[in-house]
Amino acid sequence: MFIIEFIKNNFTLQHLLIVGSFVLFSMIVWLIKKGKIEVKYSIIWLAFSITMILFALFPYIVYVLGDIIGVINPVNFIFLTQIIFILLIMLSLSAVISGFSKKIKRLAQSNALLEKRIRELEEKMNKR
Amino acid sequence: MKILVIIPCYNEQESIERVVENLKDKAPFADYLIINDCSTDNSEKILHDNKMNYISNPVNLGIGGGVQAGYLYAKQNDYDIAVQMDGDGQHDPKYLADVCRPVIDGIVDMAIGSRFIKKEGFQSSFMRRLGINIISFLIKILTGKKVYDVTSGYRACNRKLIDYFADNYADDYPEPEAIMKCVMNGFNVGEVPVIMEERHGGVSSIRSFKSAYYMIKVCLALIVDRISITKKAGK
Repeated sequence: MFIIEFIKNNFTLQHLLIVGSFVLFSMIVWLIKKGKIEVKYSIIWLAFSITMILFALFPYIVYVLGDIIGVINPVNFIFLTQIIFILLIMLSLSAVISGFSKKIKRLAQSNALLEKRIRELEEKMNKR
Repeated sequence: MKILVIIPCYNEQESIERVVENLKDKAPFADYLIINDCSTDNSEKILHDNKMNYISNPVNLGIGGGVQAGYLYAKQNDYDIAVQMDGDGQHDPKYLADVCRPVIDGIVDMAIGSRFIKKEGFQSSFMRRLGINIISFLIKILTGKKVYDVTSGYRACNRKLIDYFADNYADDYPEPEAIMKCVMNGFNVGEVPVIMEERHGGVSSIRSFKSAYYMIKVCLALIVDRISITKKAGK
């Protein structure tokens, strides 16, 4: 029971946010370093995590911005920002996927045409 | 004048042989290319054993992507006219010359074989006709061009359009969308009366035609095309 009391009294949402945003940031950097995410696709993620770090370290920003757009609970402003980022990331993913599907289609088509040429060449070779 | 007949083929093992024989018999002046879009039945074996001229997509691209491969082939091999014809026996090759003629004469850039001009032969079910009429009406509103048989897959086009289609061809609802894109880009589209037959085998690529879902998707795709392409004057 003592531990729960201790956590309740000493850890705030801000602490959680600080830890969380740094974990997110380091995960993204790690993935970029490992080459698992290409830099061009990571920019929006970096912007996301840096914004979260700023919000966590300087809650004043959240209070002021939240006040300006009139949210009652400042944490709602953080949620709003996160939702906006997530929507942007999802939209950009849809765009990227559409680009890929076009490229894959063209690859499959040229593969099919090449396969036909090879097949015909082989038939000619076999006839000789 | 090199003419290529593009025949999309997806699981047409019952009919494809007959379609090709028929084509060779009635339209010997044209070359043909069958696009086997990753069929799951014996289509590929039939094509291979009969030494037909075919390509085989490594993955299923759908009717749009498959036909586009045909246009790509036509472009690479310098064909003057490319004609699309279904692999299920609905389209009679004896009309091939009729469908090609306005294109050869330079009257239109794309000629569509239409079963609704003379209203003879297989006319499709009532629900399908209703759907076709709605799409036709929508194209009329959006572009000002009246095309009756918008889902007909029997169509001939010239070299300009072969080049265009090789790079831009709709994926999911290619027949109405191709008309839309042609008209919007200033190509001439016309219709030629043909008589179609009921399919000999296989399943229509518009399987979900009964559902409103297909209609909504097509209409949306057409409206998107109308918004995204600025209309050009006739070339």
